[in-house]
Amino acid sequence: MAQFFNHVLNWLLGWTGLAFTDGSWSGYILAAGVHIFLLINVVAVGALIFIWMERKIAGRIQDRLGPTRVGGKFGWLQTLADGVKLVAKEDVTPKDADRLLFKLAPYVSFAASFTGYMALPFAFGWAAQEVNVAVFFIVAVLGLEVFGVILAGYASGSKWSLFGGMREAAQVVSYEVPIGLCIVVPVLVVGSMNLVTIGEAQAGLFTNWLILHDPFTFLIFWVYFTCAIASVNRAPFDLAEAESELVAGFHTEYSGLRWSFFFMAEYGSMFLVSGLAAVLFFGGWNGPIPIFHMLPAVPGLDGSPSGHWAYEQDETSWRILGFLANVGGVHNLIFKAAVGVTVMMWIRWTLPRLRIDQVMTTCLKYCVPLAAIFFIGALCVKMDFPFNLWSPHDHAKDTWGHTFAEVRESWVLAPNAVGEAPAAKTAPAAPAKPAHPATAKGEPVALTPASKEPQP
Amino acid sequence: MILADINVHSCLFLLFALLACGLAIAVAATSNVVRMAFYLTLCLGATSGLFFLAGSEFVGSMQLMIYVGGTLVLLIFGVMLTAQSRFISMQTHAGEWVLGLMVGASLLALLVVASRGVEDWQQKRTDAASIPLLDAHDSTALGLGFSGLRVDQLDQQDPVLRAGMSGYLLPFVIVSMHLLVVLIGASYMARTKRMSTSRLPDRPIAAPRTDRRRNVFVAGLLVIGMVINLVAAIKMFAIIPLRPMIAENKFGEAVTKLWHLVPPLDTAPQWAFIFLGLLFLANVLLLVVVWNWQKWGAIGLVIVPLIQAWVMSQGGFRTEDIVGNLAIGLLPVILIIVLLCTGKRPMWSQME
Repeated sequence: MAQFFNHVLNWLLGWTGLAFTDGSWSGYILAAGVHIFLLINVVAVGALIFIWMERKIAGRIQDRLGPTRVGGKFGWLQTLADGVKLVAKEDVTPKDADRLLFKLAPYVSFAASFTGYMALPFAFGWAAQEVNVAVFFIVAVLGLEVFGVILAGYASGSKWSLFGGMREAAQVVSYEVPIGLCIVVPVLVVGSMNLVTIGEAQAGLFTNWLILHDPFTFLIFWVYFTCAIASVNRAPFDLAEAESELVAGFHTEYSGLRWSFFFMAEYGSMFLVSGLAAVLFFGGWNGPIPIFHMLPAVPGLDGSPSGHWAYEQDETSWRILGFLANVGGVHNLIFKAAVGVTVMMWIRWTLPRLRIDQVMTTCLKYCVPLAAIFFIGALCVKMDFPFNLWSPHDHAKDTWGHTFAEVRESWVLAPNAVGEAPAAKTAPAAPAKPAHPATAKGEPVALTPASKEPQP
Repeated sequence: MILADINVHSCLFLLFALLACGLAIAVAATSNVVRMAFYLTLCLGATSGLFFLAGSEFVGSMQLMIYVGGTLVLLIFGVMLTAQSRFISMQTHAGEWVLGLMVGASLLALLVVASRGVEDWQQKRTDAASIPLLDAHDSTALGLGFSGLRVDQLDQQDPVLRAGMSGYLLPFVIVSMHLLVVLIGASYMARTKRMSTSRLPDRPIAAPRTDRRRNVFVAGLLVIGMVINLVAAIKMFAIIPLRPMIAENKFGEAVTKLWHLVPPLDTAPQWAFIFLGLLFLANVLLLVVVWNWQKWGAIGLVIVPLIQAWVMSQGGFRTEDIVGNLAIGLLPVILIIVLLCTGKRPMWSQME
């Protein structure tokens, strides 16, 4: 992307004498700007649509119509009208508030929810930043959203807000445990924390999706979804803003645009956890039928090395057909995530709110043990236990008929590293050498026993 | 051309470093505890930004997860629970300033001396362009180090040192065990005491234990069952070491004959015996449970023989053995249940 922008800049501004090499910073900054613009729009426009959807769904579930007038037949401009109203509202700060923290809290909340999108891939290779440990990064960032809420609760100088903030803190901290256990399972099955790798491992028919991998991944998805609803603070776990008890909880004292930032953060995280679920369990950008992997390349246009539309693994150059396939992938992912968000709304308007002790019971007595049991079960499936006890096979396929994703590098490396006598790589006196032989690239046994001079 | 000369990487490093330092100073300069926590969050976040900038995404995420997420949530918890007026705005005395400056300055001096001691950092690198930054994006080496293999030390020549290069598995396990113990201890300390829970009105009240009558036949059956199951479990566990000796007829003809009363123990795999032994032990436990007036014990007694049959079928036992075992396991249980449910005052109705 940065290179592309540098080429464009060269083409546009070449006549002024400015030279933009491939690594020039201008291209990087432009690329970053484009990424940020696109992602902000995912959150903002997403919130716009989802808030309208929430009203419609709430209406239908409560046997009424929901918004019908603004913007035509379905009231689809209702959120925009709301936005105009919010902008026009006065931005009030209470007398007892901690002014600085009160003003900053909504931005903290929004920024935390938005940062998670940086690592979420929307199609093969289409992530703002392809983080090697994307799953871990997103989980880490998801836990930060609670800061904005706690700060808002504290800084408002109101007891309602403080109660809401405290409830949210207790809830989110507890639910991080089962959600972490759930997310580990797809990582375990695929053998990578890179979301692009996890998504690409599920390419093909929908039977390749991890939710259908074995019974335990199927069951653990539901635990994940429950915990995800709790961790993004949605009903029936919306104790932090329980209207019937705490007026509006942590955002009681907020109005205008600051108030709406909390809601953008909430809808942003809803979409984020649903997108994460889509990548981890539902094949990500891969449709139920691999259309783009089957469509033959058009003569005259470019095709991938295997002659299909979709990008192959390790392919880096830009192709029009691959681009189209990726656009299809983005639609897949957004559709799946939107379905997740819709289910969350459905649950919100169906179930009554839990008490705080019930929330804690759900987490500690049900979600954590269930997640732990399913984790051990998935581990057994991965290791082919207990069937491997009496029929040790070649480890190419397990009893469930799945091909093992990859044999871990340590299993391959261990005999080489420990067993043989000092099979040295070439460097005799290089303790401060940068750490990596070929291991990180997945060619583990490339240890050439070259110079065997012993060290002093 | 100045546009081309700017090194974005250095600029961003400066930005994040300044943010981290400035916010650290803000932490020290603020008197409000909650604001301190807030600045500390941002400071640690900026530090994780430095890690991301250096390309080590795993460590950066770790910093976000552990320091920014965990520690500060706990800190804010603490602050809120102790938010009394003297903590909201802390007055620092001159003596505290002096002490703090001394500690801070000595730590800073230590860091400076340590960083000056690294030879590689003394002069500017000339091969900056050829440093393989991409490798650092991968946390594989770190993970392998924790699972017992130092991939960065594969070229260690000294065999004595080589044995020590086996990674951080032991420290890792010790630390995680330690954390587990701390967690269990914390939940033990924080749990509701039994005394107070028993006073809660909605607790299910157990049936009075005084006028329960145990049927003599049932009691006898339960005791016999416990003994038989215990013997069976011990035998199952003893089979693996004893099998070769029996095959050699070491203990005399009588024992060998007795041994072969329960057939085909010579062929089945070892794991099956471990499972069967555990299941027999489970049977003993379930009988004790029934003895203690719990209904679920009886249900478990029915399920265990079925599991045993499944294990035996997987282990390659003959069909007649499986059926026989199933019958031997199930018939007494059914007898017990029938006895439990009959009589003038059935025991079943007295059980919980």
